[in-house]
Amino acid sequence: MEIIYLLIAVSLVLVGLITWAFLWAVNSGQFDNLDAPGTAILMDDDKP
Amino acid sequence: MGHSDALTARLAAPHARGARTVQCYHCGDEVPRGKQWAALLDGERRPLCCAGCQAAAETIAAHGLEAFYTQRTAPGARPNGPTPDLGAYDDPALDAACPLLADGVREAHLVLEGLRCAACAWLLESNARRVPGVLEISVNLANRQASLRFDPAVARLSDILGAIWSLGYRAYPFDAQRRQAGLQRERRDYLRRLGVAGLFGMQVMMVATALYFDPTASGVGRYLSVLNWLNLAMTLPIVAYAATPFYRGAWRAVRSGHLGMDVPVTLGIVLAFAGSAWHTIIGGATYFDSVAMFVTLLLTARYLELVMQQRASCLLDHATRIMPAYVERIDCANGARDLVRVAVRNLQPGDRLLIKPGSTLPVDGVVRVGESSCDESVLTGESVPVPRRAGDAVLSGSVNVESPLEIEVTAVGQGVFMARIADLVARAAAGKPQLAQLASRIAGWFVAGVLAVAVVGALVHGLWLGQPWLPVVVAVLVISCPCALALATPAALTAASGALLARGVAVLRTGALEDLVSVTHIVFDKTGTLTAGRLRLQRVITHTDVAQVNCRQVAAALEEGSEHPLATALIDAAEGLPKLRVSALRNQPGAGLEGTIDGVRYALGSRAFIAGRVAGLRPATDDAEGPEQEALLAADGRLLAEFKLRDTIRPDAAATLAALRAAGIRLAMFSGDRPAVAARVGATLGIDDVRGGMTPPQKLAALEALQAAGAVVAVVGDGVNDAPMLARASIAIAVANAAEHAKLNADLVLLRDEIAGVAAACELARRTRRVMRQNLWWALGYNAVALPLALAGFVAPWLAAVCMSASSLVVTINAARLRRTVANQGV
Repeated sequence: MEIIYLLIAVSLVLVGLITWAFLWAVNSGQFDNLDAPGTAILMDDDKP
Repeated sequence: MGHSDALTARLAAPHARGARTVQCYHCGDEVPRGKQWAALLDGERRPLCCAGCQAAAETIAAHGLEAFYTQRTAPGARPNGPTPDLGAYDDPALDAACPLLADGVREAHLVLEGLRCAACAWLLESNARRVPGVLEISVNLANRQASLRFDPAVARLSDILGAIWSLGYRAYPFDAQRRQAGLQRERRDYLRRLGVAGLFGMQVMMVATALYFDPTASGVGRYLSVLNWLNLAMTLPIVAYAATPFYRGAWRAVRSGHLGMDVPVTLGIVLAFAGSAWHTIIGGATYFDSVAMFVTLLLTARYLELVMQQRASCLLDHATRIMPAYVERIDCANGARDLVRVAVRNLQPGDRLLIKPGSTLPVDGVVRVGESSCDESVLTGESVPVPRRAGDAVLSGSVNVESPLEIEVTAVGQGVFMARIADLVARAAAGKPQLAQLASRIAGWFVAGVLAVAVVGALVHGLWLGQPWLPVVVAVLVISCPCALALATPAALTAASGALLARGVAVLRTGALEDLVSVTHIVFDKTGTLTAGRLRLQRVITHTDVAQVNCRQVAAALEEGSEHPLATALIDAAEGLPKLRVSALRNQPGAGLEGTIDGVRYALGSRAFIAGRVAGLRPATDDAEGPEQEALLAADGRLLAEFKLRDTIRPDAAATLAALRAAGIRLAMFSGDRPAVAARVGATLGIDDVRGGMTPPQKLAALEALQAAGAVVAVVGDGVNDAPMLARASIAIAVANAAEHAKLNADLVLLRDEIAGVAAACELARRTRRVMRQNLWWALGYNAVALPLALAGFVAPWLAAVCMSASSLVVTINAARLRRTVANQGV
């Protein structure tokens, strides 16, 4: 069961990473407009 | 007789031929017969309906953006009228609206009109990005807004706007300074807190779940202290960062001397966390999971409420769009008359201005040269444009309808009519009655009660029974679930606001829905509120055997492209009929026009205009319903038809008023229009209290008299003349095409051009109140059972947290019913 110390450390690192990624996403405006980008991918303007 | 037969035959022919119609490839409108507008798109020649659509389609083709046509789910926007002079937007005076960011980049916020689907958003973005100097543009389809960043050294704002206008969309910068930045900051702030609380909360819950079961039996007992310390560390960001808005709210409430919901929330968080931390050190039960779940749930509720409120208020940004205020001044220096473009703020009394037809007067003045009619409906409620000739006074905010006017400025700045109205509005708003809110009234007592119970529990357990008192206090504070109570009203109001938004009513002040229930009187404006605010063809009197439908067709063809209210009405009346081709069109401003269709010379215009072409024309006869507007059609010296037009009552007005009356609300109508017209509309709709010919101060005084008699009054209005009344009313409702002043003072704004939203809002407000009552009773009933148990020490803190969550869920689901039932009705 000593593995728990490693697991705790891993989970702390993970939650730190995820939180950092989430804050980065919010700050760079990823959540500001949730409709348009989803459809933008359907538009292809690099025709041959 | 033979002559009129020939006329009939020639007219009937194009009408019969029009069975097969061609649709415009760009906007979906019908292509007029004989027109050759087209564009080469994806290698095929596509028919188009007008020069505007052709220009838009060619722009799209030139930039290789044809994917728009394959991906769109709605027809494109038809460019309406000419592009205005966008160069005015480069004026340095507007720089305040486009702030300079640190690195030489300007930011502008645009409101967009004409967006139909996601393909439109893509098209607009793609075309704007092609303008050199545009760094970033992002279109938000839900808000009909775009945010734009550009390099002012390379691109001018007018170029970027021009790229958007060339596609047929209309874009205006708006003054986002006041709100937009704040809204975004607030939204992001809550989202960050919610994310942190959720992410760390999940970790805390995971660990806590292991501790819920008998720790010694499951083998985790050895690590109990380690796991507690871990949870303490992971709860810290939640308590120290995510939950701070509650502390601020509680501090504000305490300082202002009343107990809000934030006080017990804060006490619960702080006590539970402090107690758990203490137990972590000395050993004992911890409640970190309760704290985490509590904060996450409350933040979720607040975030949803915030988003809903912001979505509604963003729609209002369209009212604050910036129109560059320029006018053409006539300078008579050394004998020559020059037209100079001048900013409105630089005008002086005594200046001579040229006001073109279709433009709004920026200042008060006196007509010096010219004869026209001015649409003053926004200012006075008068439904028909009033004639204005040399010597007449004209007011700022009115629209010159027919022909150019030369006016002399009499007042500028604070002196103008509009500014005086704004003054009246400010004074009226100060006297707006405040209604007590159900939730906050109950919440105050509830909070005081819970705190008292917690203190008694602590005293009994600690001093009398000599047991550990902290778990009891925490259980009381947590289980008492300010949550269910805190969610009870916001969840219902948010669901109701969302449902109303889907039906075209924006709720700008959430409390307004609650206030709407106690409304006893509703005062309506007439022009533009109960009536459509625009002329509609009432009847056609034909004088020859030329069929009525043919006369309508000819009239619409002659008026095509004109902006006069009369013309728009005649064009509307011929909707669905094939379009005729007019040649040699000649317009005589303020009188009428002439044009040739299939070899016949027609004249359409006022009675005076036609009298010059038809011998022995009789004077107009009004019908029993009062005065009307008219247009006469003549050909070859003979009168063909008389068109009678009138500002008609909205089709949904009668049903709406009936529904309101059935709900026990007293109805009144205060109008600025002539008393005879007001009386006719009032009688048709069955309104008892009808008053006409009222000025804005008189309207305000009448409203205050009603309020003094104890009435709770809602006002529905559209014009500047209603703005003071709207500011003073308990509930202010502005209709879709209301003036900016009216919208900015409104609690509710109808987004669709119909009045039925008022009845829908009243009805939903009643149901919302019912759901709120149910929710509050549930929350109180639940607490009545749970509190004594918690007080007796029967409820472990984790069970309290579970009960609290379940209780919150019940409240939320009950509130969600509001959204569903409305959707099912599909009204």
